[in-house]
Amino acid sequence: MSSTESKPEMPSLPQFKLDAKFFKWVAIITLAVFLLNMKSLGEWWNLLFFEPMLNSLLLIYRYLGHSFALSILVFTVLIKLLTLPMTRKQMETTKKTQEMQPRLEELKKKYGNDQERMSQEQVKLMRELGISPTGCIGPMLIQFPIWIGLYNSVLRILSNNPAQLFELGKHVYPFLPQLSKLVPFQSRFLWLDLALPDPYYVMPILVAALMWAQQKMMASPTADAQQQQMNQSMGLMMPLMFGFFMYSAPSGVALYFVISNILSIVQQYFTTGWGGLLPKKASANAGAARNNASPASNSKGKSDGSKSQKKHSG
Amino acid sequence: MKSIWTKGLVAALALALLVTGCFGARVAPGWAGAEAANDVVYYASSAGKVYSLDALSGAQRWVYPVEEKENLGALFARPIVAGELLLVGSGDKNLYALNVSDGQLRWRFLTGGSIYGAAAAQDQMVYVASSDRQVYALEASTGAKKWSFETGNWVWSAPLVAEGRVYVSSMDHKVYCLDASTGQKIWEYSVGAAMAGTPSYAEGMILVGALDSKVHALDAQTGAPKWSFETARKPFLNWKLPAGRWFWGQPLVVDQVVFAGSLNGKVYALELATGQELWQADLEGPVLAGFAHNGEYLYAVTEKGDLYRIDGAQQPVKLASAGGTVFAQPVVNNQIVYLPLSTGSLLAVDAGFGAERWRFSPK
Repeated sequence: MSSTESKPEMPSLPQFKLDAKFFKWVAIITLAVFLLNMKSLGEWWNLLFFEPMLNSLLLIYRYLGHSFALSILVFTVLIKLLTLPMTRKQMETTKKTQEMQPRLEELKKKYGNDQERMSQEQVKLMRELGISPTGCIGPMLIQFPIWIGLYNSVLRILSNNPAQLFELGKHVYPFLPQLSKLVPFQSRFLWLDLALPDPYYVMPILVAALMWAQQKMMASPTADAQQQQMNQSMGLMMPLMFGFFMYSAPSGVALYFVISNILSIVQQYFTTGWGGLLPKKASANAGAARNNASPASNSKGKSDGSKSQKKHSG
Repeated sequence: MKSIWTKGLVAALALALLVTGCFGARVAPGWAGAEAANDVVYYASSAGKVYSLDALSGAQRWVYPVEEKENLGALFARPIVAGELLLVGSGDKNLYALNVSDGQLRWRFLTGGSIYGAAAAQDQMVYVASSDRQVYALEASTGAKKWSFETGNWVWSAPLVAEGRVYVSSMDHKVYCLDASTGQKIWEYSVGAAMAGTPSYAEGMILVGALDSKVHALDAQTGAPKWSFETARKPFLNWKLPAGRWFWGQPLVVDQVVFAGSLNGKVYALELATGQELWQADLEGPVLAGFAHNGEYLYAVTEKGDLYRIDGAQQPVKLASAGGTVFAQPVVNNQIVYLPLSTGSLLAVDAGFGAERWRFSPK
C-alpha cells in the first residue's frame, strides 16, 4: 500500500482569496464601524431623517402664518413631489398588473395543472409587459422613515410638557436661531389639538376610509376566487390597521395621512381610473370621461390594452 | 448571490435605523426633584411618590401617597419646604401641601393644568403657576385662593417672590411683575422668546434664561432691559456639538457673578452688572437644571447625569456619574450633593470627593 493511499482525505477548508471581493467587504465593514463609531445609530437616524424633517416643518411653520396644519399640508405636498417618480412607477406597475389580469386568467386555464410551466409563463408575461415583481416595495419602504420621522417631529414640535420641549431643543438646527423663538407652537386646527389624538375619532375613520378607497383603486381585477378573497382581506386589513394606529396617534400625524391619501387617490385616478372602487360600468364611464379629457394618455392606454387582448386571443 | 448579500446588509441597516427611529420618541415621564432641610431630604420621584429620607443614611421616614398603587402622576416640580409644609406641584394639576413631619396631606389645590414648576412661599402665602396659564396665590394654612393672574400661555416655571412682588416668566415670551398681596400687574416685558425656567433676583435685577439662547437681565422695578447675553453661534457643519443652545435652568447669582447653564453643554459665568462673559466651563452635555452652591463650589449636572464641581475659571472637576439621566436641579446640604435621577432614584454623593454615600431606589 502506498503512502498516498493510506492518508485519510482532509476535509476541504473554505478558501480565502485576497481578491477584489474580499477588499470590498473589508472596506464596507470598516466604513460601517467608522460611521457607528462617529455616531450611534440613534444619532444617525436623527441626522439623516428626524432633524431635517423637524426643521423643515418648523421653517414652513415660520413662513406660512404659524399654522401647523398648513405646515403639515405643505410638507405632505413636498414629500409627494419628492417621491413622485417612485410612486408614478408604482402606479404604472399597478396599471400594467390590472391589464395583465385577463392574460393571466387565460394562462391559468391553459397551464393550471402544470405549476412549473404556469410560473414560467407568468414570469415571461411580466417580463414582456415590463412588470417588476418588487416594483411596489420601493415606494412603500421609502414611506416608512417619513411616517416615523413625522410622528416623532409632531410629538416634539407640539410638545405640551417640559420633557418633550427639552428634546425638541436638542434637535433644532443651531444655525436657524429664529426657529427657537417660535416656541410654543400653535397646535389648534378646527376641533383638533394636533399634538393629541382626535377626541371624536373623525381622523382615524377618515384615514381608514381613504386608505380603503385607494387600495380598492389599486386592486387588480381577477376571476380567481382565492386571489380575490386575498385582495379583499388585504384591502381591509391595511386601512383597519392604520385606522387603529391613528386612534391613539397625534391628530397631526393623522392629518398627514389624510392629505397624503387624498393626493394618492387623485394621482391614482389619473393613472388607472377608479379601478375596483366603482362598479365596472361606472368605472368604465369614468375612464371614458377621463380618456376624452386626455386623448394622449388614453390612446396609449387603450391601444396597449387592446393590443394585449388581441395578441392573446390570436 | 453577491447582490443578495449587499441588499441584505442595506436592508438590515435600514431596518435598524427605523427601529431606532420608532423608539427615539420616548421622553422622561417626569423630572421630579429634591429638597434638603436640616437632616432630612425630601424627594419627589418621577413615579409620582413623595418621600422623606434621612439625609445621612437615605433611610425612608415616610412616603405619600402611602398606598402602593396610588401616585400623584408625573412629577416635574421640585418640592419646597415652607415652614411645616412640604409643597409639591403635580402633573395631575394639583398642588399638594404635606406635613413635613409625617407626610399627612394638609390640603391640596386644583388648578386647570399640569404644574411643572416649583411653588414659592413667603409671609403665610403660597404662590404657584400652572399650565392653565394662571399664577395662583394661596393661603399657606388652608390652601384657599387669594388671587390669580392670567398670562398669555403656559407657565412652567416657579414664581419668584422678592420685595413684595411676584415675578413670573411665561411661555408667552413675557416676564410679569405682580403685586404679591393683590396680584395686580405692575409691569410686563417681552424678551422675545419663551421661558421655561425660573427667574432669579439679585441687586434689583431679574435674571432669566430663554429659548432664544440668551440670558436676559431686567430692572426689577420697571422691567426695563439692562443687558442680555447670547451664546456664540456654532459653525454650520459641526456635527459633534449638541444642537440646541437654549438657556433653561434658573440662573444663580453668587458674589456679583451670574451662572447660567445652556443646552450646548456649557456653564457661563457673567458679570452681574454688565452681562460680560467672565469665563465658561465645558461640561460635555446639555445643562438643563439649575445649580447648587455650598458657599465654596458650584455644582452642576448634565443631562447624562455627570456631576461637576466648578471652582471659578479652573477646569471643572467631574465628581460622579449618576448612572442615568438627570433633569432636576442638584441640591447640596451638609457636604452632600443630592441628585434626583429621572429613572426614579435619588443619589447622595460626597460634595468633596464625589464618593457615593447612598442611593435610594424605591420599588
